[in-house]
Amino acid sequence: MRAVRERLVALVLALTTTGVLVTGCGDPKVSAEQGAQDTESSRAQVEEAMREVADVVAGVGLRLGKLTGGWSVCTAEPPSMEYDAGGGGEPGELSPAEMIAQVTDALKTAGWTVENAGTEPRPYGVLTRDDLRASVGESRRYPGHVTVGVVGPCIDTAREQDALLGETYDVS
Amino acid sequence: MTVTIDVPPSQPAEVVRPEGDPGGADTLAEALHTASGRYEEFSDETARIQWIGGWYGDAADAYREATAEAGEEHAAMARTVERVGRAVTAYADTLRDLLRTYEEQVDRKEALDARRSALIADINAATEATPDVVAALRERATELRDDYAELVTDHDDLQRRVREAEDLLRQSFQAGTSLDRALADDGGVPQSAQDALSRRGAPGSEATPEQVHDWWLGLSEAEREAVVSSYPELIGSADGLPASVRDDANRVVLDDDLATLGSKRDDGTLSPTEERVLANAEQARQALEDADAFEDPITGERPGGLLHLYDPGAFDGDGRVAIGVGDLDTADDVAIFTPGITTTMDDTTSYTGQMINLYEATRYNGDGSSVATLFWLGYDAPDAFYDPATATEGRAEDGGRRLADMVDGLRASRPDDPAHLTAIGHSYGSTTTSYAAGDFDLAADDVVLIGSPGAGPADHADDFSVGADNVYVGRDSRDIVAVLGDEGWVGKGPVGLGTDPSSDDFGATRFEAEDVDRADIRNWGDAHSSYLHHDSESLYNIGLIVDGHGDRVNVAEHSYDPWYDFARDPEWDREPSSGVQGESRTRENRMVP
Repeated sequence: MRAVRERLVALVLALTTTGVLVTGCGDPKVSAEQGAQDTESSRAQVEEAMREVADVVAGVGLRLGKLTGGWSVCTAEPPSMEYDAGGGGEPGELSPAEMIAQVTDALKTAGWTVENAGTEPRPYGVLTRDDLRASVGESRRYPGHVTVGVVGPCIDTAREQDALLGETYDVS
Repeated sequence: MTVTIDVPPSQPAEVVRPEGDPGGADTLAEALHTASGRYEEFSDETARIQWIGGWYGDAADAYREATAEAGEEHAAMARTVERVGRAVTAYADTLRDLLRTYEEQVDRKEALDARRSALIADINAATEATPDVVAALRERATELRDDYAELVTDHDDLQRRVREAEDLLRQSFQAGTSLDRALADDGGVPQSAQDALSRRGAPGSEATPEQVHDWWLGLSEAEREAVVSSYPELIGSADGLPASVRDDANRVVLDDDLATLGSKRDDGTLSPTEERVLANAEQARQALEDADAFEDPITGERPGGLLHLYDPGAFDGDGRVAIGVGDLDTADDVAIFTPGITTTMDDTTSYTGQMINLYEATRYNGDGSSVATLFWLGYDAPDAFYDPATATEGRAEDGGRRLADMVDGLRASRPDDPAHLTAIGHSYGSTTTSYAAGDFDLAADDVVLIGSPGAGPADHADDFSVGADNVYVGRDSRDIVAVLGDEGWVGKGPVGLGTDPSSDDFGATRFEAEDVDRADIRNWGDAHSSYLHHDSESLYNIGLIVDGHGDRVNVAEHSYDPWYDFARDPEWDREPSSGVQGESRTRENRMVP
């Protein structure tokens, strides 16, 4: 019993000093109103960036089809989500790998920073701009097609934003 | 020479559509649930008005007796109407299935008739009846006859199921028609359901999961429908039954709760306890809608959601729930995720979202095998860090036992087709999982501990039922909770919940799990909660393990403990990645062709 008490006291002390007990581990960090405002703002930011990216890649011959977006969970406790949007198309006369390299270069020219790029095990490019992340790669679902996407940062939410999950948005 | 080729007649003459409208049945069920709620409200009210201050004597006694009796009768009536309402809900679900089967049979008959017409045309067009041509035409006629015969058999089966479903609903209504029967404990329960439940191996009779499985196999289709609609709580939590059956039963109870408590909310008569149950039910509904809408990243098909466990009033309102993404009855690879402290049913939607992430990651980087992921909150997780239960590990031990039982149930439900099964525990849930694997012989193939404050009873990965080679650990170097485990004597006392499983002494395989947006200091926020975040190293590696390829994870160096100093984590200085193929890419960009 004494060992248990010592362990409990030590645990409480350790977590108090790190702030865990101040707010509670799983509680939402924001109000429902703040969560609604922040998610709306993040979605708008990502969609605008995605449309810009679609224009840039069209310049190197990749015409993305319909652009769509949606939310996914970052963390369950406290709740947070991120919004991503994307689209894909055929690379024309280029191979997917060649088109992925060209898209990566074009986005770099448009102000994005290449964080990672490579060809193994599949060709890809990862780029960042402010707190957005863009990616380009070959589709697994539609082989031979090249897809491009933009994802925003994780946004703190309240339970009221749970209803956003499972929705698909038309970004075009 | 005349050659005869027997062309089979078109059969059955007509594919008979099951009568009835599932939507209408749903409306009736909702009305019955609302009525049940009204009876309940009356019963609650009689309890409230039984004692009138300052009124004593014979008349007061008679009044109290009368109100008590009226309250009991209305409570009994509420239960019976509720049972009948559930039977109608189950009937609506069955009718939907039957109508789908009917549509399939209509399509099959159209296709067969088209083949028949083509055959007749080819026979009439044949000018040279060579032996080869005749043989080919006869073979087509034989195949057509066989296919018609199969359709006739299936059509007969459909009509039998229609009759059985209607008969079951009739029995449910009749079991509650007289006042005496309506007020009885088994009001609204058909005799066939009562008989089935009295057989050996039935759930609730201390039967093992294997016995429950055999009991289920011994029931007729009609008896199965009867027990699902009459005893949905029992069937919905019975280890050993197919996950699809548990899902059917739990959805009946969920629909009931949403309708009954929803009507009480509309009336303004919800108690605080009921309010919490309704909130839990709404979380389960939202989570199921998300799981049902999710599309497989490779095939685009919807693997569907499963309500594997549903008990929204359990653990003082925290609730017990398990939501699956994918088909637990058939998936090649099954992952079961156990969350940690502070988790309640209020978090169901978020955790189901993480199960969708895990499913997606496993399939995206997978070998093509089918996948199912399950969020399992089947134990009473401590309420907070300062909850004494957090430090005593009692909840972890109890949860470990429950987790091992649940996995035994999954194993028993598909004895001839065992899945590759991975148990994943996060935070305090990793200690719970450690108890399951260390003390209760968890029947998993692989164990993954993430953000672990300690491995509970296990000093070494060898102590786990899966063996050290199948124990994997993910720890973000900035995760404050994951450094609480005992990894040395310098710097902290007996803080955590057992040995730090990421340490070299423990003997598990540690995989890369750094968050690309990690902070400069240890924290309990993103660092502790991002292990299933898309395009993270952690989710990438966990997906490989779930897919059965733990040997391909990107291995991280263990933390270690110099005797003269604090424990060290070599991952602290490594640059993490996000979205990199072969390291941290876990999903497909969105695309509509």
